[in-house]
Amino acid sequence: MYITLLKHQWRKTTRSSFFRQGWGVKILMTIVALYFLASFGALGYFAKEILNQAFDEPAVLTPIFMGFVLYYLLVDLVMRFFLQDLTVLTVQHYLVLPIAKSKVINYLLGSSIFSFFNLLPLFLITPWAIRVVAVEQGPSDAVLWFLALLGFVFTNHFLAIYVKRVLAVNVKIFGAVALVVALAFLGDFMDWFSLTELSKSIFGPLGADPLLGLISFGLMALIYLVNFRFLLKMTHLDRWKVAAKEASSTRFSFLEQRGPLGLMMANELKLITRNKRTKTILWMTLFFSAYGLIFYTNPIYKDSISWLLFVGIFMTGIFLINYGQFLVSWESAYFDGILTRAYHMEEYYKSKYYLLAFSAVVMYVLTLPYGYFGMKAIYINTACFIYNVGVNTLVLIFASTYNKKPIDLSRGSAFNYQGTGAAQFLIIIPLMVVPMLMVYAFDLLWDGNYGLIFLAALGLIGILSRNYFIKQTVLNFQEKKYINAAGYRQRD
Amino acid sequence: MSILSIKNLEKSYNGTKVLNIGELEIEAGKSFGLVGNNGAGKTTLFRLLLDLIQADKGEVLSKGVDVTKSEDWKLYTGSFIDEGFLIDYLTPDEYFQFIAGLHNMSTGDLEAALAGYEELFAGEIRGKKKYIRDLSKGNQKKVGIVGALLSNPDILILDEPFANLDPSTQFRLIDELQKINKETDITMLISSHDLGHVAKFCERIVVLDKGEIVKDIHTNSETLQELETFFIQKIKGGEVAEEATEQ
Repeated sequence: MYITLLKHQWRKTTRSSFFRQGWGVKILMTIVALYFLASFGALGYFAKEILNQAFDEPAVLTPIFMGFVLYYLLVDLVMRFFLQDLTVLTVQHYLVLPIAKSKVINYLLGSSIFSFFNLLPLFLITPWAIRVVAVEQGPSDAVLWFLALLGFVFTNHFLAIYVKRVLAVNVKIFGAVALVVALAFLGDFMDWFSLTELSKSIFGPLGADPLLGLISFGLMALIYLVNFRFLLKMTHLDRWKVAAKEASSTRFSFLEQRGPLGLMMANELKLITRNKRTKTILWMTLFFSAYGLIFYTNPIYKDSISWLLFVGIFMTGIFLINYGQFLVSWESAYFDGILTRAYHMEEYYKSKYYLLAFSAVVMYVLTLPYGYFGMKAIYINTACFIYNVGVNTLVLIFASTYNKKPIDLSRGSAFNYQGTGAAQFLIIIPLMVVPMLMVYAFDLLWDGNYGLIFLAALGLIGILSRNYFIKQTVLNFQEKKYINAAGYRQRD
Repeated sequence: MSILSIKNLEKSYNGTKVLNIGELEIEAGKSFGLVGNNGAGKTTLFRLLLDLIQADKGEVLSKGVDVTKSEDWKLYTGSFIDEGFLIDYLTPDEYFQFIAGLHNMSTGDLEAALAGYEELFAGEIRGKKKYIRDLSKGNQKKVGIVGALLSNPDILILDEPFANLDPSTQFRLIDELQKINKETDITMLISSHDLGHVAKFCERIVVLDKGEIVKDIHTNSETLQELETFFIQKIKGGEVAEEATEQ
């Protein structure tokens, strides 16, 4: 039975859209994964040397190592929470078939441990167990120590998926977990208590007497049981149903009275404010408007005009780049409607232009307070703002005619690669690096400030000739629209 | 006078011809029904009329203008093929307001137009604080159909408007379409699996089979009988063919 379920899972994975995605994304994701594995492996291997250096060659290292375990587990929990995938829907089709519910649930929980996030800590603790614990306490203790930590890793794993599952039903739990983790770090930072000492007192004895460490397996079993019972209760489909939220009645009357162009902009604002993934971008945008603080307060970057330019382009254009690179894909669910409604495509693309330009205006105003760090910040951000509106917006709009992957708006955005292709990552390069290089060249050969004037001039030219570029976009769109429409209709 | 003309229209997918229409003229002001089994090419034809897919050959002229060359047909054509036409994060009211706005209808015009569909909505569409994506399939369909009718278009294209609707709504929709057909000079193109529905109010019925026009009937009292016979024959013909291959 478990074999059949495993087979289904395998097919689901190999036939999933992620697997069928272009090679670009696969290679990129593999590189990211290998990078993390290598980093963790190296950290685990050299932890001996690092700790020896930091603590002046103490007699035994393992207790010091144990002082960091709690930190690791807390960070791990948060990472898992945001990045680890959940298998939720797969259960549904087995419920009406003659398979014991407990089997399906055991399978669901059991198979979940084959996760990248469980492989990662192995790379950290295995070298330590071999190089340090085996030497300090003997090989048999090393094995026990390894198993004990493995138990904690899995406890974390099941805790994370439990919290994530509960969250699908009850949002408050998430708040509680976030609060506990945040308080733990805040308390440590403010010296109310020491996480290191706490970690030492909890995990220290386990390190000294690894048999005690097997308590971790008890914990794991406990949280597994909690998961099991929760899932058993949730096998009735109606329990999953989240009550449809009452529709928002926000209106953008100002825009809605401005003809088709305004109507389309109002619709797009509704799209952004009413869908989970676009809302995530909105929050990210606000969050990253503080990005400049890192650069303006750091003397290394303070005098480098090309780095500050990067920050300027990023801050005034973060929404534009993030949202703009999936332009039209956001609306893939009703693309046929877009193609047949009573407006000309030129109006449609104009509404996109004004929306993106408007976002840049908002971000420009939000970043004006950076003037506190000197007028230079204002000059840079102004040049970047004009460049974003005049050049980057038009580039993104033109690039959108090559989008053909549908996006499911209701999903969150972290590690959701739906609708992305390697081209989507490539687009960031010309948008950010090109202006940086241009200013760098000016800075090197002449004066960086002339570079700013040059960027602003390019932007102004773009703004003045926007209608020409939008027309070219529409011409290209008319050619590509059949392929795009076919792509957008392929929803899973 | 024909409002839509189709000339030598061909479309293939992966080497299989799914549509092949030599010539088809659709007269202005008449209601036109399209029937056929699954895969007969009904939706393909409608998508070609709306320039949603690209023909391999041939052209579609709307009021004499090639639909791939000009976008003007959008201003006088109302259409609903599937939920891919609906903006799902809007409420039905917002959606109607959007369509009305595109056609420069005042709020008063819109209210008057929507009042006519109260019966069809059965109190489940308007004034509810629900997004279109949270409506049932049937109710989504109602929103789409009314959205297509809202602007009093010269041409109306509806693909399977009766599928997914409950029986009462089907009758109401037929009544509504019949009324519009009588009172205005709209040109309706409607496809359906339900022969009875189409025979009831379409003045002309075309049967598609494997992408080709196999029947072109001006509706009379025997039409339904004729259509039923045709589709029953198809099953029998299929059986005969299978027996032949078995031997």
